[in-house]
Amino acid sequence: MSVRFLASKVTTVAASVALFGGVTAWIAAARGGGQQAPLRDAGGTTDAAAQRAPATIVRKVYVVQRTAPDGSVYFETVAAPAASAQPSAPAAARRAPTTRTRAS
Amino acid sequence: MMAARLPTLARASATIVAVAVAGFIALQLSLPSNGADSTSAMYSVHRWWYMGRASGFVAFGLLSASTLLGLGVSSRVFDGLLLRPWVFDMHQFLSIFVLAAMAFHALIFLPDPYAQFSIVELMVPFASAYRPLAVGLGVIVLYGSLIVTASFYIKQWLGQRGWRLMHYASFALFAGALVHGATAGADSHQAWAQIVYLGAGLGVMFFTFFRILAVRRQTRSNPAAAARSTAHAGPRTVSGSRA
Repeated sequence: MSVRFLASKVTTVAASVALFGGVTAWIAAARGGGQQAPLRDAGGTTDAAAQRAPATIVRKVYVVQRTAPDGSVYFETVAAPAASAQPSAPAAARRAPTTRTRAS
Repeated sequence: MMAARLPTLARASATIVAVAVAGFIALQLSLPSNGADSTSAMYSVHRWWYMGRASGFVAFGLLSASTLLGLGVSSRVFDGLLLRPWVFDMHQFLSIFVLAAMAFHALIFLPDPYAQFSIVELMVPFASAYRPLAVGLGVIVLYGSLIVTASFYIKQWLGQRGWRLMHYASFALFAGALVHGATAGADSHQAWAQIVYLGAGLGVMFFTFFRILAVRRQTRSNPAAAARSTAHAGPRTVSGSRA
């Protein structure tokens, strides 16, 4: 194997690695696309309806404002309660639900 | 016999080691460092998904390059521009390298905590719950490429005709990879992705027609030479000229 042949292969591997890193960073930076990976529930089954939607609610969480012992304020996400234990309307209004979605 | 195979084995081993090292480096480059901003997209659980998408394009590019160089060997379209032994050697190297890229592309989805693919879904055709036809086609392309690449090394048992017939599957595999990328890829609606698919598809189509026309012209002008060329357009000619 000549040096020229070997150099071509090394260059190919290096270029592929660089391209892979660059495209990955680019996709991550852009967070592009309106599609998402398969979404599954806790049982591991794919949510077909979620696959069809461009951006789909995976699960609802609540953002709760807390106060630390030192007086500072921070936010914490908590899982939404089960359907049978939905909070009353005033409580729900205080804790506006947000959604977790996968852009792409 | 065994001694003759040693260089081939050594080259294959060197390629695998090089690909493994390159994959490790790529992974390290892609993952965030300790000091990375925790809000960075690369720090998110979706990084596996991003790497899978990027590696798919790299694998498709390598497959396209390998196919184009293979067409260049048989049609001699690059004669005068590139050394034919180099074209054949790179074609053979890329056919192995693309296998590693394909395997990386498939297996990088395994640790994705969001997608939750299983090894069966990624390695068994049509077992995936996510776009089963598109993903299944990609798995078939992976196995098909493995068989076609292996045919390089078992040509003496296959014979020239068998090897050539098996190599014709490369066209179907390229088309399958194109359809897999367009239908399974999350970037297919993006203009740049469509340009990549269109450019690669048209390039391979152009060189395929060029090869067909070149063989026909050669057949009309010199049937005996055309028969020899068709029979020896593969690695045997190149190996002979290199030796």
